[in-house]
Amino acid sequence: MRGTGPDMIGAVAVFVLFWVWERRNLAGWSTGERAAFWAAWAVTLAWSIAVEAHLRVPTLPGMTDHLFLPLAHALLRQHPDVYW
Amino acid sequence: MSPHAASGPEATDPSALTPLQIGVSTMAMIGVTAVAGLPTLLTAYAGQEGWISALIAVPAGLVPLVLLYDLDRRQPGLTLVQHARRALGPIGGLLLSLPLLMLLSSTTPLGAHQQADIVGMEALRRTPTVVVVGLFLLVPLYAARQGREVLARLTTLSVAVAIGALLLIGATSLRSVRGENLQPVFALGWVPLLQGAAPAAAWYAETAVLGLLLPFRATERRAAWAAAAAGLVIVGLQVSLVTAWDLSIFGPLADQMVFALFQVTRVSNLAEFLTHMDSILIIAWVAGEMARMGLWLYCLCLAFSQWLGLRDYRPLTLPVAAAVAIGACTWFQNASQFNAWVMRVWPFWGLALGIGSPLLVWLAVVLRGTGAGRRQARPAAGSARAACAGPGRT
Repeated sequence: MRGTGPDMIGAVAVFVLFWVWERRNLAGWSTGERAAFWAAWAVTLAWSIAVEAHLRVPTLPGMTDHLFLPLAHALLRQHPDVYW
Repeated sequence: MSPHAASGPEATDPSALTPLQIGVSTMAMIGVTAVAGLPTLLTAYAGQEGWISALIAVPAGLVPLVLLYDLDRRQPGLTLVQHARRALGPIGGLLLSLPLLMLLSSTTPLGAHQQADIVGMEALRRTPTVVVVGLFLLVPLYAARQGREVLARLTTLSVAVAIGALLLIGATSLRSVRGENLQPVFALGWVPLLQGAAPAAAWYAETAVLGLLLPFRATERRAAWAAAAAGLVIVGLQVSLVTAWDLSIFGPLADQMVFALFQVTRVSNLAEFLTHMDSILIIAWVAGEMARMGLWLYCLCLAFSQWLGLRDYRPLTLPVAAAVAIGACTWFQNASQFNAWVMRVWPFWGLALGIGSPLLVWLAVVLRGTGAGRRQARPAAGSARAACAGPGRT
């Protein structure tokens, strides 16, 4: 895994800090809410580590460009006389 | 707390939103980013007629509101996600809510990215983007956890400050305005106008997200929806006015500027004594963005919590805010790629999701029908009334 360094350590540290912050609330939540909390944290932590390790992760332009750019080229081509 | 209390003028829910709060929330959720980012796009497509495109696109924002109104008329007090679950059950509701969740999940980081770009270009040029985004998410995160009443009050204050700043900057830049830069009108025909209206329409179609706020109204339905529509129209007028202002000052250079409104502050001064109005705009901008980001974060967490059938959205606020920060920092390599994506792809992405998400739910509700049993049914356990009325669970 490439890219391990201060950024990744910092990302993990931030997550640990937030977990410490939420610890007091965890006891009052239902099982489903706790499960959602940990699942959401797992997803975002995995995403953060993947980004820091320079792995290929989905991005919004990566998911949308191939679908909508042809439409943009066809329909949103700038009028040649717009620049005066 | 009766789930139908909001349909009457007497509201016993202290966190219910008044028409004024609904109106300013609409203005904050859509207008803050629209006023910053749209003028450049409008002038790039429509030239000196870009300000007309901003007005043409307003009906696109009214379509989601009409659909939401009819949904609320059929089953009052339910959010868009709850309508989907009620129409097609838990599994079908999951699929039907995906467009709304995609809209929220994509637009929230986009707004954070735009904010980071603005602040990074205009003020904190050497600060890493992740620091800017992280700092700017702290206040919205805290406000979102406090509930919609706190958000609504924050928004009311922020929007007033932002409008005051815009008026001040407009008044102090009046000397630089040249009306001839707006001419000729309708010289290029309708095609450039419609092209310019496309990104604006996608922006205005974000009113679909109000499907997570409007059910919490404190007054009757018509007053609440009228306030939302008024907020949208005001945003359209603001964008049109700012675009016309940019064009009248900078002329053909207007489409070359990423955030033209901030360039206007460079030519603003009061008797050549009060200058550097950019600091005033930054202050107002940050205030508006805090409110805007808080509302979007709240709606995103609420939508996910109802999608998963949770009673409370607060367990999701921290991880979702972290995910928003990651998306804002990693989706685009630089401002140029971001602006190119907004110019080319956003018109289709935003319009499809903004109109598609309430439309699909509406179709499902209409086709399923609202029988006698359904009409009298109470909202599910993860309802709009039970989930996040205030600091407590109810």
